[in-house]
Amino acid sequence: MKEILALLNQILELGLEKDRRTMALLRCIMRNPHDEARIAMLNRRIGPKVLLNQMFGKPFKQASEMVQGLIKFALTELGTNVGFNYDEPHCLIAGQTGCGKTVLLMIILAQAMLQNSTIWLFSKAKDTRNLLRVSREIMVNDFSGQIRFNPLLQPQGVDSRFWINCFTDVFIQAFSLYDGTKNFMLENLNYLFSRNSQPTIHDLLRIIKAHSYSPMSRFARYQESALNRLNGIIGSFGDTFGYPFITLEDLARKNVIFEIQGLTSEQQVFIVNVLITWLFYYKLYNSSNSYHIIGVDDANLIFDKSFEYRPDQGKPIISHLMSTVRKSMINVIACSQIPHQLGASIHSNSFTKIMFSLANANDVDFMSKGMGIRDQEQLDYCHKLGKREIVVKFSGRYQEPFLAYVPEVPNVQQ
Amino acid sequence: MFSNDIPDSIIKINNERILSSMNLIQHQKEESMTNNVDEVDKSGKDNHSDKKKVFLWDVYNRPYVSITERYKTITIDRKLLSAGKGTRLVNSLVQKDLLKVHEINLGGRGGSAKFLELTEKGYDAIGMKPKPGIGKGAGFEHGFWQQHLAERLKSLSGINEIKIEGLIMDKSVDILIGTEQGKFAIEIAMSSEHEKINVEKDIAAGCSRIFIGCKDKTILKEVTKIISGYPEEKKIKLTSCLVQKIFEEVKNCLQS
Repeated sequence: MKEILALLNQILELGLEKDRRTMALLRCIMRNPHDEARIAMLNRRIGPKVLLNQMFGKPFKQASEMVQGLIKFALTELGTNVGFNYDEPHCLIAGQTGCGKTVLLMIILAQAMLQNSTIWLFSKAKDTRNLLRVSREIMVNDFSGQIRFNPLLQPQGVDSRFWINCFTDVFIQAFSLYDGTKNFMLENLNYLFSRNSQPTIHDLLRIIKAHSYSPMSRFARYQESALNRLNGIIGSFGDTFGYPFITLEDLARKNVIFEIQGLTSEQQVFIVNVLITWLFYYKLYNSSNSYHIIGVDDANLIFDKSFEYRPDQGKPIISHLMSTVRKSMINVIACSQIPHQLGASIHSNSFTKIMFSLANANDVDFMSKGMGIRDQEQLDYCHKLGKREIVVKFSGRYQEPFLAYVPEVPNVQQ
Repeated sequence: MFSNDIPDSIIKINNERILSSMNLIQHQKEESMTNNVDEVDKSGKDNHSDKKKVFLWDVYNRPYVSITERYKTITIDRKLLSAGKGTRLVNSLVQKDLLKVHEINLGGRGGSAKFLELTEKGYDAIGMKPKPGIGKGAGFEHGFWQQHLAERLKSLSGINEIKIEGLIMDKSVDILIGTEQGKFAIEIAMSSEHEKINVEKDIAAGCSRIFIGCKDKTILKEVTKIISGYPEEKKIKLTSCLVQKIFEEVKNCLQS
């Protein structure tokens, strides 16, 4: 019996379970385990492949057909589609620059769009706008003021005071401010909302500017800090936060690419966090039957370890949300060049982990550890992944890490 | 990777097409959006200057500073305010019902000091809501003594905790002091009306000592009368005096 099981394992490892002859032989052997002739026949059939695999094969097992999913992103060596399903949030893609993370992200988002999901993509490069070649139903927001929205307004069904707190938390975290300024902002925002049901960031700036404090007072310093950041936001985002604006509820129903490359790093952190937090709460408080796929070109903007280790501010809201939004139909696809600097929230909550070749040994070690790769040969192989070659690990369904290839994207001009 | 990105012009046209099918939210009429004294003036047909606005903001930010102290520390147009100009400014603001003046006897040789409080109209003029604890409930003078005493008590040794409106077993006391001898409560009595119930609750909550600071001699007399009716074991815990003397009483108690 043990011998038969060993043969079966070898067949599965070699991916020969689809081979009719091999499987017929195996069935005969199972019926008559003492049939030496057939055992010898089967060994002759799979022997050379086992030998070749031992000499030149990859140290990862061939993945079974269980790796198939609705959103396909790669192929195994045997040509099986690899994909994840909508009810399997979230996905972390790690890889060095130029390895194909963005292409993979676009492959995923393009399929999601064609399957009637809504996508929001936060991108640092203009090349993601090529998704428009798949569907014209995508808006590209480069924060020039053409698309105006108001992140100060709470999502439908959420209490404005609660949203004010969330907004302030995100603002403080993004711009590295402290408690004094946070409370100062809260006070002003609460006042603002008591006077106007739809205030904008411009109104917030105006109200804070109108205060007059003694230059030596603490309040003057809080005012200065808040004004400094708000002026920066108004300067960089232009009229994006002005009137007339479309509601974020409307924007949430559209596919949008947010091109954030023109903003400062703090502003990038702010806008990505505030919009994702908004969408999370919107989906949490409003039942919907459509999925949102959020692509983030640089996951360190929202999930950086440093955000989770500021004892004065506690954990960022987004970290909590990642673990609580399973049922709110949001999938986050996060790409990172430096995964070892990512916080625990994305590692612990991503169903799919994908590793491209990484230049930094820390990153490789971190990812392989997170993917449960312990075999030394497999670990060594992770350091020398080829072009478009990826190691994939699902947290359920098929739990072994396996190798796959991202299909090559043709150059449009060629 | 794609070699040619879609140009901005196409993006703009495409965005425009999608935006045309969406609702735009227009600017709402604001309900006194700016924190401007002038906005109130429109109704009052009076035009306040920036100086007045600065002064009102200063009163908002530092409610328990005496008028004299305020003149010495406030800078308007990068200059300190002289007593004469300050008095004229305050008088005009009081006349316009933007400020209220409170005279509080601080005890000692200094006699009384004057303090300012924003009126409802004053808060409106700077576009803020009244701060909790100021001018509400027990009133400005009560709030002043709470702040004033809490600040002074900080200088005493043997105190490890001072809390305004601190809680002891769910009972709120005006000032709660944590000492090595236990929890001390300071109650500031602006009237003797509720003092009996208040003191009983404090004792029941487990305060080791209760100091009752009375606003004036009449109230002190009434409070002393209430205390005299208590049994001896409760009386030991209670001290009543004028609010101006509370600091000395606590100091003596800590030293004994």
